[in-house]
Amino acid sequence: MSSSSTSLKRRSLLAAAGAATVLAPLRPVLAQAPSSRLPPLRAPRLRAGDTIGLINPSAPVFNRQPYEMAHEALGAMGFKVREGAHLRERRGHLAGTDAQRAADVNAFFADDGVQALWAVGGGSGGTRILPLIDYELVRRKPKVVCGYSDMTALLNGLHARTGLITFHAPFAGSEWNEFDLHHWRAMVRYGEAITLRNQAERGDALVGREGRIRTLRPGLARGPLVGGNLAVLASLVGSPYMPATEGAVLFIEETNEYLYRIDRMLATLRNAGVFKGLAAVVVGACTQCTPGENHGALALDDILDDHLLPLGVPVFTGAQFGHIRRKYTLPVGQEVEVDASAGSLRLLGAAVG
Amino acid sequence: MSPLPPILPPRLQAGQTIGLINPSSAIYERAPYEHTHATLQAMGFKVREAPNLRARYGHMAGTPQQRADDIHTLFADPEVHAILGVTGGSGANRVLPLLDYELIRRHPKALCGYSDLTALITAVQQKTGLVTFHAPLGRSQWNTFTHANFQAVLVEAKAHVLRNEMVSGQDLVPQDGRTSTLRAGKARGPLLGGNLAVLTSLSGTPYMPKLDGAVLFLEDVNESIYRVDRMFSTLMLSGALANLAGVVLGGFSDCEPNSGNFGTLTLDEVFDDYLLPLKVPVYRGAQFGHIKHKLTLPMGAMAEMDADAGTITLLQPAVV
Repeated sequence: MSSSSTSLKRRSLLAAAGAATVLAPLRPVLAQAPSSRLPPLRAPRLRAGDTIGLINPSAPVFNRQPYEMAHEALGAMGFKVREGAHLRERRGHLAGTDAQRAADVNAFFADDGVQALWAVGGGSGGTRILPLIDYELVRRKPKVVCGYSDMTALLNGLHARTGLITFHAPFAGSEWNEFDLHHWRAMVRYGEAITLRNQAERGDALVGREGRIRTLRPGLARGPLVGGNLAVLASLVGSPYMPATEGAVLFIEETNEYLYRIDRMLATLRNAGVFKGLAAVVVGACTQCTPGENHGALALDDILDDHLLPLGVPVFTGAQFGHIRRKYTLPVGQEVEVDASAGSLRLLGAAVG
Repeated sequence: MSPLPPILPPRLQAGQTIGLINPSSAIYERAPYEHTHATLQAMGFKVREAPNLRARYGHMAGTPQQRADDIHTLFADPEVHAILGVTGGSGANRVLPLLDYELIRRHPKALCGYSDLTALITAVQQKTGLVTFHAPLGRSQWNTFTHANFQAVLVEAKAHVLRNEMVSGQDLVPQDGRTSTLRAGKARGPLLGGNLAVLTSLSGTPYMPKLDGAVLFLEDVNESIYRVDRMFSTLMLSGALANLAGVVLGGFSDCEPNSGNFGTLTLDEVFDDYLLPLKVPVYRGAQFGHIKHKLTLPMGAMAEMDADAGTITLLQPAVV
């Protein structure tokens, strides 16, 4: 457990050390071997009245409603909201040029009046800005960063390059139901070492379908969380933005991918050694992952069995995160204990300072 | 480029036997097999099917082990002189860790295919030094152009010039077979590449070659533009693009904006974004990929590309 006083001390030390380099030019991190795991860096927990900076590191949000939702939802949580200078830019499928999207991220990290960065939406294109982020600045001023889906790139890239614990959480523009809000608030606002567990829903059915977990291999395991959207994570493999996975708990979700592609993505992780030494695997929702039009395809169950059972570590599927209505927040980089029989993840400490 | 010394396979001769493999997807109809047999026989070759060629496991042509066994069987068989994939699809990545690269290195043969076989021809090149061939599959249409180019590289053992066939027909200006220059110039290096999605899926694995100094050739089919963009970003982030000698883009068929979006970069913009900053010669429209006319490109062979002329010249024969 990290007390707020040590965390404050660390912050001021880092701030003093960083003062001299604040004007140093942005230098893209060129390809280099992924560093071994950096010590976890915790952002200060959020307080009522803090300011959230909205970013779109991936695709533009084309309609106005998600912005209105983001402002209202974050306002209802007690935060002030500020939009990145280029938040509503567009360039093709990207929310502005790479330089503009990266500038919004860097500006919010630099701005002492902003305590967290939150993506409004996902899409694609987050990988493009990874070399343009000022990681030295992030190390000096660790802040809460939230989002999922294509934000997997930034969440894992930031963690890999700085040790910052980032949050695989609903978008600012997502629907914020009670389940989502409860987990996010307990973890990021109050710094509680909570246990993440599905909310099963039976309705008036004899047996409930929603929220079921399935244990592929039972057992308990501990390790830091790494993961997110499988396609985006796989696109980081071989780059310095892929976190170390030795001893980690890998969590993956996917949406709208053919099963043969999921098989290929898992083969990429396997062949790149990402599976070597994993502590456990947690599979979230795989929505609209279909066989496509063909004469035969492995089922998702077959694919997961083929790739994950040989690892000999605890695995469960059906965890409530991904492109589904109810999503719990997962702290990338935070040490957790997985119980694959119970289908739960227990945080082994606070994810914020 | 493989760190191992290059090995050129023996050239193909009429009367020799070509072994058939399916390292990726299964084929469900009989016609592609009949087509493959008839085509290779018409070219003067005998044909032998690997034992598990027609096996099925989900979308794949047998379990990874069955497919690996087939590759071993044909490389080890002294009566088989070259190995050709019948179809692509997906799933070759799974076979790569099961291969006995030492066995392959001891029995060098021309290994041919494209699309998902990019995984196999890249891994074998990387792990053995053997020059492999980005060539039509058995089930491809072997038209005169495609056939002549395969023959020139593998049978006639020429230091061939790979050049598009421009078909003007009755048009004032020919459209098919045009190349366009993104950055002018000539560059020399070993040819490496293939299908963009499959090559990218090798990133970070021991099967991914170092592309420093290479002439990288890429094609793809049926990928939304945002995915093409993400694949290039993977190559960029891993440093694979940093020290290329040149780039040749082939067919990018059916790579369109995905449905349900309000805007997307064009393919031209994606290529410009990633390739122009490299300051190396680049041209687009070379005839390889999921298109009718297909050049045969030897992987790991030294070549000179000319981005103005739209040609790739092999600096020496790719077979002995």
